[in-house]
Amino acid sequence: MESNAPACGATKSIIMMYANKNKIMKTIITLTLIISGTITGLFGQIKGQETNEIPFYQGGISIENVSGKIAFKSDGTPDINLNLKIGGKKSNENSIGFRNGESSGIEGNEFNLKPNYSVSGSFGKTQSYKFDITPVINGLVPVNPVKNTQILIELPENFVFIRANQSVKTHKEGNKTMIALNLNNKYLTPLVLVFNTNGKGVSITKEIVGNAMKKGSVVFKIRLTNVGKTTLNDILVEDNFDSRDFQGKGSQFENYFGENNDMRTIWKHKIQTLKPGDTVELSYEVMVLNPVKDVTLDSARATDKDELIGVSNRIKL
Amino acid sequence: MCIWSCGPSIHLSTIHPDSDKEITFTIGKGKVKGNISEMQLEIEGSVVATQPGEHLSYTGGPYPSYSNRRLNYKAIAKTGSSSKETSGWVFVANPKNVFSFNNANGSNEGYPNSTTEQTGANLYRLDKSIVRNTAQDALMEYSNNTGKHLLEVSNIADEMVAAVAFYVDRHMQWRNDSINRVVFSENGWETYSPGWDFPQPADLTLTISGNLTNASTSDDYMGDCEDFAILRAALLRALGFAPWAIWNVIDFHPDGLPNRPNVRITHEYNVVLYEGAYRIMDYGNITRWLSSDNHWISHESHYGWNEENGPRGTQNINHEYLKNNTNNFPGGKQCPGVWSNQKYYNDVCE
Repeated sequence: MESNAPACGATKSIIMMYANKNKIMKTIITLTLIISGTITGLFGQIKGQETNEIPFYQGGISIENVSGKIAFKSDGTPDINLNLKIGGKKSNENSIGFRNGESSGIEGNEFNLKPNYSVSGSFGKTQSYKFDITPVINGLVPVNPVKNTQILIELPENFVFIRANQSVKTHKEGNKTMIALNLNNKYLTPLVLVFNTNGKGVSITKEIVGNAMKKGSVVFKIRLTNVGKTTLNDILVEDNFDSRDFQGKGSQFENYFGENNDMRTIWKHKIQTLKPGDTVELSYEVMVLNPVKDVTLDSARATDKDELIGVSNRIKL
Repeated sequence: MCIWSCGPSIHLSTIHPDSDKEITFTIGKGKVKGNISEMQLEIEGSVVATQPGEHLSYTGGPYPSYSNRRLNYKAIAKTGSSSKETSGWVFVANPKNVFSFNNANGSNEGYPNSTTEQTGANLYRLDKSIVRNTAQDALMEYSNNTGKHLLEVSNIADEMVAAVAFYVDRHMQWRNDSINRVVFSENGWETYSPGWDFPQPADLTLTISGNLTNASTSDDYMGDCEDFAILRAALLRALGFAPWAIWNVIDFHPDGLPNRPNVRITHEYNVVLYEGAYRIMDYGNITRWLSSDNHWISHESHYGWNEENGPRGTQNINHEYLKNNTNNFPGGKQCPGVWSNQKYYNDVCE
């Protein structure tokens, strides 16, 4: 019978080592490691922290609706106007709001509140905004999903949408780009939006032709369209995949071996020029080494002088 | 899975139950001679089911009060004036509700400042709220995707594992360590110098690895293999998964790879308690790595570390930790034979 206690396993190995006099030095080193590990463990217990489990709100209030608009101004700052509407029966609730964002008392049924957000990148280039739109009641995430979510994001002229981390739909209203997040009976988690603020951008779709579940060849098709207002030159298009799954041959493929571990095959292609509205279709063939399933492949991406200008969909196998 | 004796046969729907799972006991005639008038099933000394004739089927549990200990059972076949018995036990694993953790004590604001400081406490950073919030997000997004209720996902160990694998697969992409170093440096962590292999602490993977400041990241989180594995382990730990049930694992090839004799280590991933046994968790969903059909050479598991064992790195002692603690079921029932990395597959070690 094996024990789950690490010290037992380690002790057993020490006893076995003592049987071999030639390994006494090794044993001493091992013992030292174990003793120091034990001391660390003891200190750890002394210094240990205790957290509570991650609880959920299970009271009588439901979040009926999260709706509103996030309109980005031309200087890149967001104007946020979101409403939370609640239903159900109140009892001991004292606050409602967004996780780490604004909250209010529970009077009434509709609340205009701002979520917490963070931003990275710099204005004039590509920027990423992360809005934590997770509603909380009494500081806790409700155990039931939000019944209806309708959030519209507006990007001004010259901003080019690159990606979101949730399923959104985009359309144009004049010069503005509108991004809609519409959900029914779903839990809300942070929404990440990435867009370019200097008019550059390409939309990229990635498609697989062939069966990755069988050994043999498959083709990846990458389709890029310049959706910005600027002619792009020397666009670097990159894709990567695990070299234990797929093997690519040719000058466009580069095998990466990590500093100490990890391995990857990287595909690169340069597009000389792409005018606004123009589309180019690229493809590459790889061999399936092992049946690949239950994994999401990385996205292809495009950069212009190290600046991100496009990210493709990810293919779920 | 049948246990034979001179008594009745008894078959369990699982011999590796978690404390949140039901068990179906099916009792048959087995090697009992003569007519059987009645079958009985005893669990922990109490008769829980009686059935006239030669067969009995009973579904019981879950058995949380037997968490991490044996559940004893006995099948009794009554034949006229005598009775024949078959008894056995299963270990009821419960990796849930362990919310205590050790303080990070790395010399760079709790983060590792050398290879020897690459410990679970310093890399998982369970003291950071972003890790806890993201663990909660993983449950919610998995609920959205599967249609399962959040309470179900948050109360069943296997669902928690599936949720974390799903979430990391969905939000994280690969990036090499050379660029990871630059991104850390450009985003306020130029002092981060953790030693061997640049492992990213889970909270910094969640907060800065996806930043676009002087970087061109293509997803919410970026990193290479050990960063994925550290994040998965940290999220599971934040959900209360026990340290003994989630491991970071590194492969080892004593003679090097076939075409690269100098390469002895190629990968880091997780070994996790799933469906009552230790299984591989790596890129993709948890279902991806259950069968040996999907064996990677990089899954020649050798070194293991977690919050209770380590530090991270490739010292021989880390090999002892792994094989002594994950061979292959908790509580004493093992696959036959000596430990090998093949035991992490459900077709090799059911």
